[in-house]
Amino acid sequence: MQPRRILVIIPSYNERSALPSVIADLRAMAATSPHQFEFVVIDDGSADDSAAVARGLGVRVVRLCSNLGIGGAVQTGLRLAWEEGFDGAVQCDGDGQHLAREFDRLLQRLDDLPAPDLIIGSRYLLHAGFQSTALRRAGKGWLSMILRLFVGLRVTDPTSGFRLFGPRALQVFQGTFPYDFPEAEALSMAHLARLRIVEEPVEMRERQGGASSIQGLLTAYYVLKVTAAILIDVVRGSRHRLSPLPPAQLETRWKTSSAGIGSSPSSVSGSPSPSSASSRGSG
Amino acid sequence: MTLQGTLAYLILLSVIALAALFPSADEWLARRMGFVLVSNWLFAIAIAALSFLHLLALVSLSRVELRSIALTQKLGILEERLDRALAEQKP
Repeated sequence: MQPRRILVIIPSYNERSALPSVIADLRAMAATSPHQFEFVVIDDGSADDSAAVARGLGVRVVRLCSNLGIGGAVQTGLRLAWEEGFDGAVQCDGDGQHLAREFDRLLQRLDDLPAPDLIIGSRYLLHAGFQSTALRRAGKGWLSMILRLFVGLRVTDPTSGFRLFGPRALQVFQGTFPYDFPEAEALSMAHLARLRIVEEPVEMRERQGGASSIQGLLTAYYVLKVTAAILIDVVRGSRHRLSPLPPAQLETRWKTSSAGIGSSPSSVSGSPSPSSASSRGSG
Repeated sequence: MTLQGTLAYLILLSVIALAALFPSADEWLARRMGFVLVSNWLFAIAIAALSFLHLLALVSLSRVELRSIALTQKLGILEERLDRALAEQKP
């Protein structure tokens, strides 16, 4: 397996209770992985002291001065990964739903030929672990159908937040990413931008703290809003808006921007701080 | 308000002024458009014009929101980099 430099994006909103165990799990995973990891908690304007807790754990923390929602938080991490020349970024929710031991499954797929651009961890391929509520599964079924019918994309878990973004996906999404309920719409955008999307079976568990932002009637609004957003994307023809760099140009970019693991185009981030160094795996 | 919005309102006000100056033209237009009462024609025009201006305002608001999100993200990233740089400078 080719070692890569991966940024783990942990969007967090009032997740102070779950963050310590999430980061401990990720560090244990990084210690045995051939890849080089950096962890960044994107504190999405939390009302609690999530940012201070994360800083105390020695990981990078980007604190947003106002609440942007999950899409805005994830895009912040994607921008960071793109600007600092990472080989990929993994979104891992700060509520502890995503298991660190499943990272290798996603990362192994990066060695596929042709390499996928977006790897989605699907909990419905294995049917193991937490499977969400019946209402939410119905919503996911609906969105899967919409994506299949109108976008031509077959996915089993369109709302999974456990994703690995390859370089081309980083290039596309650092500039344009849906802000409200972004998961399913991001898939349609990725497909329309001709990114290669694959699913990998993973196990998930129930959230370890905090509260979901999608509850009750908001679930119905979520489904309606995302359905409309996907249809609008199809009508507007996102393929013209989102045109990722061809692989050859991307390779050139990586060679010029990151001459080896650990360096980056950014002068500040080029030399890792003690805090980020401590969060890295053994490599 | 943007220059675009200001111009749109000025055009709307000019049209209303012209309609007030030439009532026979209003009546002729209303009949041609199938309205029995001229006042209904004027109300319909006003509603359509205000709806269009509202749409323009929403488009403008969306653009401002996107810029605000991008600025918030950039600010967060720069603050993080600054904190790291300061931490590195500490002995």
